[in-house]
Amino acid sequence: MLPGSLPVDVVEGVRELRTQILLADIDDQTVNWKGFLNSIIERNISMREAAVKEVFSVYDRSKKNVLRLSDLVQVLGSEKHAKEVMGDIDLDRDGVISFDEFKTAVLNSSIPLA
Amino acid sequence: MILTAALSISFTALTRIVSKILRYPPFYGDTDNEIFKSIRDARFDFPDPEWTNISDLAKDFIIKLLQKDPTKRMTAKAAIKHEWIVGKLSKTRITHNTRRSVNYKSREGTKKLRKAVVALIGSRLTKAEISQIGQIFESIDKDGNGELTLNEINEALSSGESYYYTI
Repeated sequence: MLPGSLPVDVVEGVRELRTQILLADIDDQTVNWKGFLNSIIERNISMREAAVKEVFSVYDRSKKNVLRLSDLVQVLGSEKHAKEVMGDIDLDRDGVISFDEFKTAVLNSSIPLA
Repeated sequence: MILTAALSISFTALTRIVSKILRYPPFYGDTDNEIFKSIRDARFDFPDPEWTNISDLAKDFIIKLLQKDPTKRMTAKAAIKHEWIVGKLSKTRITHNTRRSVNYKSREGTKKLRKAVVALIGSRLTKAEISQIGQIFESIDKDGNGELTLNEINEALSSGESYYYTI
């Protein structure tokens, strides 16, 4: 592949990686396959609402179209983290995460993943 | 010495905070790489017109914070006693802004959730999708050692592009 001929949908992810390398505290920071893959996925989430919906359905174990605290505990592995996420993205404070709230949080590209 | 280190925040974090406060990062360059280089070298200035209305005290505060050498950098303790901060504090009634603290927490919680979502999407990609992204990785990884270096990434991205990087 010639320089500059990266597929359009990965350019943003690759740029983000460059930013991470340049701002890294260690010199000659490199990116391995896992880091590359995650960066590409993360940058492309916004173009894949279907994927976000799918993830939501996986998390939604009660199949009531909401995520409960217990679902988040399952996902994040600890009650502490689950409460942190719940407190932050449950915008209407009804104690559960709707798909809209979930989508808003996941698609918020202004928050870097790293 | 340990105390100094404990009170020093990382340089990158400082530049981000200061740039956010002042809306304009004091680091410039025509390309990303130039901008990043000036950040790493701690080379900055306050050009017009963006900085015209920024007080000298504020600039002094920034200069003292943006010292690359941590031993020369103003400590957090000294920073809260800096004239610019003290002046601001005396004029502003500080109330605990619940909305703001919620916003801050929300970033941390959201990050955790996004990481989990990215991991799940990653684990559910089809073989075809993985191999497609794998081919791109290999095309960037010119020496094929499984690690992308800055040079390899720079080469992959079109060169000569110029856009303003906001921290």
